[in-house]
Amino acid sequence: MTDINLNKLQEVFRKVFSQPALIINPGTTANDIRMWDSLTHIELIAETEQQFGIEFSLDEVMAFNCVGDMMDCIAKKQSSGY
Amino acid sequence: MFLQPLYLLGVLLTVGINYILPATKRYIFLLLVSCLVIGSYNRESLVTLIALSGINYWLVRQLFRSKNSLYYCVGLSLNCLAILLFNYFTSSGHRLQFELNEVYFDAKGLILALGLSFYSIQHIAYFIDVHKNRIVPEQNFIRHLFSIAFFPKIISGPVCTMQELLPQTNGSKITNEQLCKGFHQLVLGLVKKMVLADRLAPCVSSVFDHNDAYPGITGLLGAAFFTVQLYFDFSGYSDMAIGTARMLGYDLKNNFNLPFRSASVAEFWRRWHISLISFFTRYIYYPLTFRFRQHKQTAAWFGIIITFLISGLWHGIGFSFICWALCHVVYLCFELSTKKIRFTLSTKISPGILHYTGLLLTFWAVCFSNIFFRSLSFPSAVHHLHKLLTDFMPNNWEAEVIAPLAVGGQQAEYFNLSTTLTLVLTYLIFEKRIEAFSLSAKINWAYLFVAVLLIVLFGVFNAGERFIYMQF
Repeated sequence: MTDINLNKLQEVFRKVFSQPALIINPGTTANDIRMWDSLTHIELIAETEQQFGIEFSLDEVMAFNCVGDMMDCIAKKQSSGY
Repeated sequence: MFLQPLYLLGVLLTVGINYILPATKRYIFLLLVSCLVIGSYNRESLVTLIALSGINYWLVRQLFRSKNSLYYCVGLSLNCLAILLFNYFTSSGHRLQFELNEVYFDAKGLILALGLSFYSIQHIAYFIDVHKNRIVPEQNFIRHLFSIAFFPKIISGPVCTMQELLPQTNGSKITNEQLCKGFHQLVLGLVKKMVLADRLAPCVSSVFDHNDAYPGITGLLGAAFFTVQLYFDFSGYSDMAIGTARMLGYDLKNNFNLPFRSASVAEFWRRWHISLISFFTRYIYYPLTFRFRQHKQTAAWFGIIITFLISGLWHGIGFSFICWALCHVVYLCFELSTKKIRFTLSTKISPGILHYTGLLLTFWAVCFSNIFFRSLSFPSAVHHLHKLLTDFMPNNWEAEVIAPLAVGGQQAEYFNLSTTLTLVLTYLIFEKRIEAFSLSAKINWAYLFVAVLLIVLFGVFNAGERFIYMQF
């Protein structure tokens, strides 16, 4: 499930940041990706929600520090049958 | 206030007494010192601070107990109103005085209280966090008052939240490392303010006070000088505040991180006045854009516009600050909508060229917006821009460009200007290394010797310059 989520999330990142060759891992942070900042973050969140069919809360979004945090939150929502 | 020898002696004495007091009682002593510092500025500031803290303390507790949104609305309105009145009376010449039992009170002084707009946003953040059940309100009013009044941050921040400061009142051992780092940072702040910012101040005033007399290029260079002056003035203040707090055992949020090394305006705002931008991002920008996130980029544009308009209003009421904010709205929306093109460019152009082009464009974009920030009035800013567009090049470089920036046409004044520019450029080039020195965990005598030498040889002692951000 983790690998599937990572691959799916990678596609989201590639689309949002318009970087077709972008590779992410759970440790990837905003410092590792050009243009990942508070301006683009909200687009990333909206696209992730759409692709995974889930909904984050504002506090969850503000607590994301890296891709791993996003994956944990997605996995939690998937296991709770969101 | 921060630059008076008596204040600096007072700080060292406070650090000494604070060090020997029991860790859990230090905040009471520091609250008394803070009240003394604020009261010595003017009594109205102290009255306002205690009154507003008391009202906010009561309202937040009522909000937590009853979960009644009325307390939340009243609390937010009260603090927003305080900021708006503060800004209105800062920019207007209205007088407001009354007499109470033969004691004259300057009501304008109550509104123009020291640090009012800074601690009001601390209260706003507190209300939002309690309302959203992120934190439990403080039960002890003395601790609440302390976290508002803590004197190193009272004038102009750094903006702190209650949850950053309150846990630190429990006290822990103050280490030699904290004392050394704090002292080094305090000295660095003095150098930035006295040797760099205050030396640039007359050059900036010379251009902005008579901008109708000089061509556009002088105005543009004046805006660049002001941008650098503002940086040294405000980051110097922040270093002194953070350094003093660290010596007293408190960690405050960093406010600047090499902002002139930003290759985009978005990056600039991650490096400039970080504590205030964190507040705006967390409490205004994210909640707004999150609510409308299904609109993706449009939501981000909307968030940028509202956040910067509020930031403009927080800085002051008037067209100048609105225009300053609109400049940054345009820059950020442009960057957001061109991210694909910029990424494509980055794959085709050498990274070095792209980076340095970004640095230059960002610096001059910020300088341009600061014409509104520094101009004495909105018509004066418009005049400044008119000169930029219609009368850019000078007929006589020496008389129309160099002499105004040097505040005179004599050789001594040219020498003075070249010394200032040498100091400023040297600092900016070696900034990263100098700041690393200042974070040395043991007393660095060579660093302190050079700093004192710079202050004695090149420092401005009689400028009477206030910190620029004291007006906000």
